[in-house]
Amino acid sequence: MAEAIHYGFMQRALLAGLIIGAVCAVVGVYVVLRGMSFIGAGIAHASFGGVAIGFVLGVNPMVTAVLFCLLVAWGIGAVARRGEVREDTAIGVFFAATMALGILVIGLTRGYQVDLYAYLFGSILAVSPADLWMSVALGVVVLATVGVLFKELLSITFDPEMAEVTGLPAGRLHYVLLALIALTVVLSMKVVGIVLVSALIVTPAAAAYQLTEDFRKMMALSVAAGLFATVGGLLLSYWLNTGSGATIVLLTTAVFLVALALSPRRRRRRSGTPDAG
Amino acid sequence: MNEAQPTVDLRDVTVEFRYHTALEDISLHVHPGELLAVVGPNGAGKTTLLKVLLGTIRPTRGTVRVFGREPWRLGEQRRRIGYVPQRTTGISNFPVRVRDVVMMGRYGRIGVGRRPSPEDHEAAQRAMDRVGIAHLREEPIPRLSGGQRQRTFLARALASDPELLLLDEPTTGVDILASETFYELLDRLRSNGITILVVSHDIGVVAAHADSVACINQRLTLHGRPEEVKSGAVLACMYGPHATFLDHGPVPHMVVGEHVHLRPDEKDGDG
Ligand SMILES: Nc1ncnc2c1ncn2[C@@H]1O[C@H](COP(=O)(O)OP(=O)(O)OP(=O)(O)O)[C@@H](O)[C@H]1O
Ligand SMILES: [Mg+2]
Repeated sequence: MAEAIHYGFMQRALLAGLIIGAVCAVVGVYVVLRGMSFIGAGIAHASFGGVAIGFVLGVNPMVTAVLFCLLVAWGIGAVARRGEVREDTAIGVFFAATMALGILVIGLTRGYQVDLYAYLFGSILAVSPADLWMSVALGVVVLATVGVLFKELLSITFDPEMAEVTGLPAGRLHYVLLALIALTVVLSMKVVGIVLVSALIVTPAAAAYQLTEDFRKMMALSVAAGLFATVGGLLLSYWLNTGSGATIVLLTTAVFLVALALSPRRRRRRSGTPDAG
Repeated sequence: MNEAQPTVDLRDVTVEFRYHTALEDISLHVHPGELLAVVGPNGAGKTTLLKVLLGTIRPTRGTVRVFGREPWRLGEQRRRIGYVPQRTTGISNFPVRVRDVVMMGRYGRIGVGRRPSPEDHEAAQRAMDRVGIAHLREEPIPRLSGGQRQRTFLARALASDPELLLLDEPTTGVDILASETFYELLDRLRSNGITILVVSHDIGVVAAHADSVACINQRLTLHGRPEEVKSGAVLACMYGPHATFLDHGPVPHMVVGEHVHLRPDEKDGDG
């Protein structure tokens, strides 16, 4: 263990892992409680289009991915808000279209396959100093936003109609939440990978949901699970020489299964209370 | 606010959805301190009417004024309205405590980015005391019974010290005693000058507490004093021309058509 820490790439991966673990876990609480898991997956896949554009333009793909994901997230929000298309339908459409766009763009420019693999599935070796700083910056933005808008985000997650009725700008807050998901996806993709990032957003929060009926405790437990999974997963991935994204996600899944086994909610559900867990 | 101005003023309001007209030519005023009961069968447009007053649904035609303004332009003034939505089952597993939910009623007042002040905590506590759930303040929402949850949402509506209360079937799923206590609470709120619109299927209770009753079935079929509630007109509006009251025992029963015995509130499915 000690020797792993001496490698620069490992230090960067672990630092990035701490940020990713915390941010995914915090944003995941809203995603899970609001039933937005599918949006998380949709935006994650859309980031592939952004990455591909970055490759072609010779810009850091994280930069183009941020812009692209924000655009897609807000696009989904705007289409669904007009009420003519259901949100999951909008996601289904955007999801495939942006992925296809990415594949098309990549096909036009050959020679990036190795790099691309890292973006899709995550790699410990992939985190450059620039990527680390980008992740830190995005992470600070996300956590600061959650800190400032804590009660507002709680309110729109609990009951968007009531949030609006009590005088909160519920529509704009929903766009903020979509943006937070987009930023979280992008800051995580180098280590966890586009394909797996939505699992890291959903699973720690889902595990925490099993264990508590208090919102703040749920967030704390989710962060604990997220940090354990990313840091533990990165170390395991180093020792076992396995893909970092897959290792992290399997570790969170293990945490989730343990939480499910220990869950007081589950006991109550058995005794007859329906539960949307 | 001057006394002559109605709190709620609807003129020829029509609401059309894509394939369906929910409300047609509704004209209605509610004056400050008045308790208006809104009755009508399922799908009559009662919830739609409340949403028009909240500004979340805009009428296709007609004019709406709440506190003299168009509801969707109320902005900050929205906090003067307290609302209890009809069904809140979807959020019954959300991990928050009663006191958190009640405080949510004040979020608009507190302002974006600020934390609740001691004054906000007092107001939330007062709202919980008023509806008799102070002992449940630390209880998580998933552990509440349906009726306790309804009272929590009423406390949330009261927490912002509203001048207008819009209540959508607030006593569905609440036991008779709690329901009676609830309407006594409404009486007290009204005598403090709060204007109240309450949607209910509980005609008997409504008759005892409301200043006036509006019977809606897409159109406003009847608007009058509660004494008229037991008249054939209201029953016809709600359950068709063959319905009559059977007035024996403490709870008014009614007969629909020839044989079917129904208590009014049993018309409502899950609640
Ligand atoms: N957003 C909407 N889009 C389309 N149609 C709607 C919408 N909301 C309500 N409706 C329709 O408008 C009609 C009135 O609905 P509303 O919910 O106001 O009835 P209600 O009187 O509250 O009934 P209930 O007693 O069952 O609560 C219904 O036919 C309903 O299908
Ligand atoms: Mg209704």
